[in-house]
Order: sequence, then C-alpha cells, then structure tokens
Amino acid sequence: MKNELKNVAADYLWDQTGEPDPELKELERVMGSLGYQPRPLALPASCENQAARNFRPLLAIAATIVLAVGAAALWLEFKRESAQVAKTDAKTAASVDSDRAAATIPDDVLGDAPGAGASDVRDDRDDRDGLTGLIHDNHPKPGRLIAARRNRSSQAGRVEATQREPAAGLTAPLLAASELRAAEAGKAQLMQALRVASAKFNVALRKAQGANNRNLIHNQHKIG
Amino acid sequence: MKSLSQISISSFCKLAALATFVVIATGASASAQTARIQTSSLDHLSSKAAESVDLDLDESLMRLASKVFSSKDPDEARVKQLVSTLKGIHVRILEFEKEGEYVAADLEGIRSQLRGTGWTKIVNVRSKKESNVDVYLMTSGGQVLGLAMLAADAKEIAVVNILGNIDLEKLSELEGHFGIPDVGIDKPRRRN
Repeated sequence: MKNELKNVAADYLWDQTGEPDPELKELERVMGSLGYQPRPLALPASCENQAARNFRPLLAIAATIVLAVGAAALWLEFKRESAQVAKTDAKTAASVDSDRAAATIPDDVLGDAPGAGASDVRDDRDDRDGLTGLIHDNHPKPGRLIAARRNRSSQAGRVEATQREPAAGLTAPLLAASELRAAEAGKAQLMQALRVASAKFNVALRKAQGANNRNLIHNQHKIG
Repeated sequence: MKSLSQISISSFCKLAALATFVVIATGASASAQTARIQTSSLDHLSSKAAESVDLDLDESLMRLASKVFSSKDPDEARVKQLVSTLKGIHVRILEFEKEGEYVAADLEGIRSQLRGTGWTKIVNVRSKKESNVDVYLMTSGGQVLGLAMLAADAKEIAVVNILGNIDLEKLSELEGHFGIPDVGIDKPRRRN
C-alpha cells in the first residue's frame, strides 16, 4: 500500500500523471507563487547608476558652454569698461589742455622746447660748433631771456598745439596730465641731446671732409 | 656598479650645470658688450666748470617723449623715427671760463672705455685751434649698438653717448632743424 502511494506520488512528481498526494497539492499551491512568471527584467540599482553615468559627457558639454558664455560676458564687460576709461581719459586730456591754455608754461620747458625761438637759432648759427649756444639755452642770459620771453607767446602756442593734437585728433596715445608733463619735459631733453649729438657729429664730419679736401688739393699734382 | 637611473641623473645634473654656466657666460658677455660710457671720471671737474649740462635719457623716457611727437610735422616725424631704434642718450658737457682748467689725463677715464672691446674709431679730428673730436661706433653682427663722441677743446669737454641702432645719416640730417645749426656738411648725393 505504501509502495503504491509512493509510486503514485512518484509518477505525479515525475511527469504529473497519476493521483497527486494531497500534501503535494498543498505544497504546490503554497509554493506556486514562487514559480517562474514572465515579466520585464528588473535591473539592479548598480546598473541604474551606470545608466546615469552616461549623462556625464552631456554635463561636461553643458559646463563648457556655460564657461564659454561666462568668459564671453566677462570679455565684453572688460571691453566696455576699457572704452569707458578711454572716453574718460579723452575728456580729462581735453580739460587739461583747456586749463593749460590759460596757465603759464614753466620756464625750463619753454627754454628747452624744440625750435626755441629765432634768436636762439641765430646764436647757434654764430657758434662754430653750436655748443656755446646750447649751454646758454639751458641757462639763458638776461638779453637772451628777454628775447625768449618775447617769443614766449608764439612758443606757447606751438607747445599747446602739440599738446592739444592728441586730444583733438585722438591719433596719439592718450596720456594722463602728469604723464603728458613728463613727456613734454622728456621731449625737450631729447631734442637738446639730439641737438648736441647732431652738432658734434657734423662738426667732426665737416672737419674730416675738410681734411680730405686738403689732402686732395695737396695730392693733385700726384694725381695729375 | 651604478644603475642606469643613477647614471642618467648624474648626466642630467652635469648637463644642467653646463647649461647654467653657458647662460651666465652669455649674459656676462652681453653686459660687457654694452655701449654705455660712464662719465663719472669727470665728476671732479663739475665744480670747476662755469657751465655744466647733464642729460640722461633712458629708453622708457624716450618712449614716453616720443608719444608727444607729432606725426603730421615732418621734422618731428623724422626725429620720432630716429629715436624709435634708440635705447638711451647720455650727454655731458662741461664748459670752463679759462683755459687749462682740465688736463688731458682727466679724459683718460673716458678714452680707456672707448679703447675697450667693441668700439671702433670712425672719425678722429685733431686741431690746435679748434676742438679735437673722436667719434666711436660699436657694432655687432652688422648692427650698430651705440655711438660715442668725445669732443674737447681748451675750454670745453663734451661727451655724447647714444645707445641703440643709430642712423648716422638721419642724425646728421637733423642739422638745420629744431634750432640745430647748419654747419654746411656736404652730404653724399643719393643715386636713383
């Protein structure tokens, strides 16, 4: 009897034929919910993270675009500020020029200014090498001082014209008032230095040429 | 026996030391080649001089000054162009009331510098009645590095030192402009 039951149960377990055992039926019912049921694959959490990682290149591209836009905005802002500063400097230079037109030019600047008057030029021409006049230009003597002061109005006009030119035409680099003053003084010094250099160099050349000519005359009989 | 890495590090250190030495030596050579003339040997004569002129223009001051030169005025444009290649101009003039206030030995400090490496005397004028003028040029690789002029007569000493690539023709052409006296130099005619 027991063997029979075993066989029945075994057949049922083997190929679900024969009479099933009630216990087996009960077990089958209880555990049936755990059997295979076709449904979509549920991915684990780690796989979901990997999927999220695919957005990183997009995020990098977005960040790059944001940075580029930010940099462009900064550059535009800097450019706008530079333009404003340039406008302010132009206004300042124009106001400084107008103030200077009424102000007195320092004696040292006028005395050293390029083209320092017709009398100075005449005196320089009288000198053999132009140096005596140049030294005197630095320390004008009373007679020359009067002549220099007589020419001051025209010189002042010339100097002011030079100073106004950049502000009016905006062709020269814009300078602050203090820089402009330093530049004018530097220009005067530079011109005086070039005067000396040119005068000395030409004196040397003139004498060298004179010596060559004398040699040419002396040697003419040899040349024939 | 040294390992390969030890040999490499040792060789690298030697190479680095050699490179440092070469750089230092090159820098020293370049500084030795400067065209600046020191005129401090004339300082003791300043108290004897009736008139004294000292002009020291460095590159930055010349750049600043050249900003106020007008490009519309041909004379100023010429000067601006001449100055654009210069790195400095130094002028020292001492004028004495009487003859014999200085002796030839006082100029030896200047002359000894001009006898140094790199300087070539291009003009040498000796005159008993007028001033003696020496013009020196420093060149390197076909480029002018500087010009020095020493003019001395019985009552006057003048030292002119121009640093940079000076165009001598343009310097000479300044005569007759900006109050620079025209002493009548016969300029060579340009062939077209």
